[in-house]
Amino acid sequence: MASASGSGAATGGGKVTLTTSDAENFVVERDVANRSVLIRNMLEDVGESDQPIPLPNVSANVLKKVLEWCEHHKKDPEPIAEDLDDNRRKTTEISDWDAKFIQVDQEMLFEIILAANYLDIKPLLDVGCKTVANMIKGKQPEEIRKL
Amino acid sequence: MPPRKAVTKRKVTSNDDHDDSRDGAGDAYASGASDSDEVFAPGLSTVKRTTSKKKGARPKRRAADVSEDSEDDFAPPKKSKTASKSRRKARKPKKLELFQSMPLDVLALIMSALDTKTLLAMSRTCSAFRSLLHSSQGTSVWKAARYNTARIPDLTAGDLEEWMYASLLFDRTCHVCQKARADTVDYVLRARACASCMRNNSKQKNKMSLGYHSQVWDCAPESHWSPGFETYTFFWVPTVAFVSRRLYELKGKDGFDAFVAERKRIKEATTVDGQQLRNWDVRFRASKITYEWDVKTSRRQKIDAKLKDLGYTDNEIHYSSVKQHSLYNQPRDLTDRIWTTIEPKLVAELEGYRDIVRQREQAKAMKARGEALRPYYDGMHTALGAEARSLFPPFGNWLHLESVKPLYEPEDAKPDDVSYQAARADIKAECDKFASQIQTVFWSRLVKAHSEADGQEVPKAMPVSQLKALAQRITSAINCPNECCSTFATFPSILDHFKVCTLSALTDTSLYTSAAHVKAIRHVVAAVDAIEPERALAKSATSAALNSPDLPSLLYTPPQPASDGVDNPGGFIVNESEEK
Repeated sequence: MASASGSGAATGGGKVTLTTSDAENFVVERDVANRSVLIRNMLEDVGESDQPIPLPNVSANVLKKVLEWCEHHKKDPEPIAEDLDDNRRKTTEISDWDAKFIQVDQEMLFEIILAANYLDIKPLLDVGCKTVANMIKGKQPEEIRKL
Repeated sequence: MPPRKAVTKRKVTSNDDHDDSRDGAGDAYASGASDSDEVFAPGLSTVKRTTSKKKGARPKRRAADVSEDSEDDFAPPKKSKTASKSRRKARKPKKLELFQSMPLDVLALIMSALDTKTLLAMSRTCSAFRSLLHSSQGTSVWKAARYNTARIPDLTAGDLEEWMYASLLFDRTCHVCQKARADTVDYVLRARACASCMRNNSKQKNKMSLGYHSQVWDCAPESHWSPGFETYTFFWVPTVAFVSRRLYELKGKDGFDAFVAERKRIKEATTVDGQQLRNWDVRFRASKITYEWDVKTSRRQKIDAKLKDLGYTDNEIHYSSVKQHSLYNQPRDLTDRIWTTIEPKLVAELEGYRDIVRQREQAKAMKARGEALRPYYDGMHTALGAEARSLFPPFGNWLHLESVKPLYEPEDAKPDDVSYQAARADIKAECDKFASQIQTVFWSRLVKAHSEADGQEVPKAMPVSQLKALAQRITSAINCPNECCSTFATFPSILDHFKVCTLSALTDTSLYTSAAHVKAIRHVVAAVDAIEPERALAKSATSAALNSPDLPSLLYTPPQPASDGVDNPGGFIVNESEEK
């Protein structure tokens, strides 16, 4: 799991440092950080470096949640290349762990979705979107407005 | 779709850019609206016409209106000043704003996970969503939603936009008069309407007014209805009117043939679409039922598990009224929030059931203690003389005597010799009181019944001795108080029979007799006496009552010896002819 530290960059031994918008640093395993396509691409582009990776669009409390998800799913296989057929947006089940993980207040949920979108973590984005969709499903316009 | 100006306006503007046929294919969605002023007025139901004519009546704004007004005129419903003031004070951040602040691709992802009906509702929440979902950007979202909704097929005709298609399938308002609960839908004609509007707007060719273009019948979609051997063909009047007008407009111009060809293609395609949609409809309903069943089952299982965690057993859950409770059987998944709401109600049901079970067990134990007193009852009963024994209370009544109750009612009571002997004198006194009471009550009823039967004045209160003297002079045969028994006997011998016949107790109304009752008994007794005078059953009966014209005469047939082919077991037969 990620450990938060107030000090500056600290990498090495397959660790990556992430700096949030509120200047908090998170040192995480590379496997965990690689769940984010954005970070993975960045690391590939930069190569081995001790420099922390800035994440100006993500706050510490949201990143903590996101990293919790990444930690749990670090050994998941890479998602198969996206089916190009747009129609196939299946409403697949959300796993029990994910369902429990995503039980947060609405603002945090939206923050997680935005962070997942920014960090390009497709499975987490899907979980968030499906959760929101499940909240809306079967509701009338008035009810959606009050959601 | 309802004929609306907004829709028409949009259609007309696009008319110039695109081909004519597409606009024409919008048929009811476009035609019924724009043409109403000039050529055709869609046949609104009479009720609607009258309501719309009311002066000063405020037009009712419906959810459907919100989506189909012009692009930028979405506004939340106006509230009174006081309401808005109080709301302003306690205003919370609007959650919908969170939605709206989402990047478009994320919003599209969320919407793609919805079903078509919810997406339709979503397009009516605010102008931003409406614009998105009514634009070409929303097409992929609608397609994904259709896929999620039991795979709604693509329309081959291409005559409806996605939101119109969704509205046709899932709107519940009439597309003509906006009345709620419009369940009649014709997929070929692309029409959803209330029964009245459907009747007024879908017509057979020969029942429509003349003046339409002659080629319109080849260009307008037609729906077939075969209730029996015959097949009826219906056209949607607004579509016919629209297509006809376009045909007249294009007559002799370049686009005429192309328009006719396109309309014919659409006509064929709508028939194919109609069939596909009917198949989808069946599939969708089935999937809905299956889904609801699954959700219901899952909910039940979750509730069972939670109730077991609270310490209730399977038997308690199964036999209590929880299983029939509406909250238990709703087709909605159980969430923690729902459980918090329904838990107290279900627990109250189970506690009620536990109370009933507890009471039953107590009653069972008390009954066992009461049964232990039976030998004492029998001993007391048999020790009496014949008449006193008849009047001795049945076991059920005996248990209800005030002096007997303490012997078995308390949970710690021990019905043994010691306690019985201590209470014996009191019990005996109460039994005597019961005997005299039951005798007096019955005698007074008997005297009253006889007096009424003879047309005499009912005697007022009289001393017991006088009552006894009077009662002993008259026939006192009555029916066994057990409702299932048809035995007749005189009082008090009937009580001896009753004690053997049933275990239940006598009530105030058990020993019942009336004037009609008395007359009937006299009649039967007289009939028997006439056949067997030596028995003289009716010595004490008054002769006047026997000649009552209300009663049929009875023929008595003596029983025949049992032999093959003879089915006369003997008995009373009512003389039908005399009865009439």
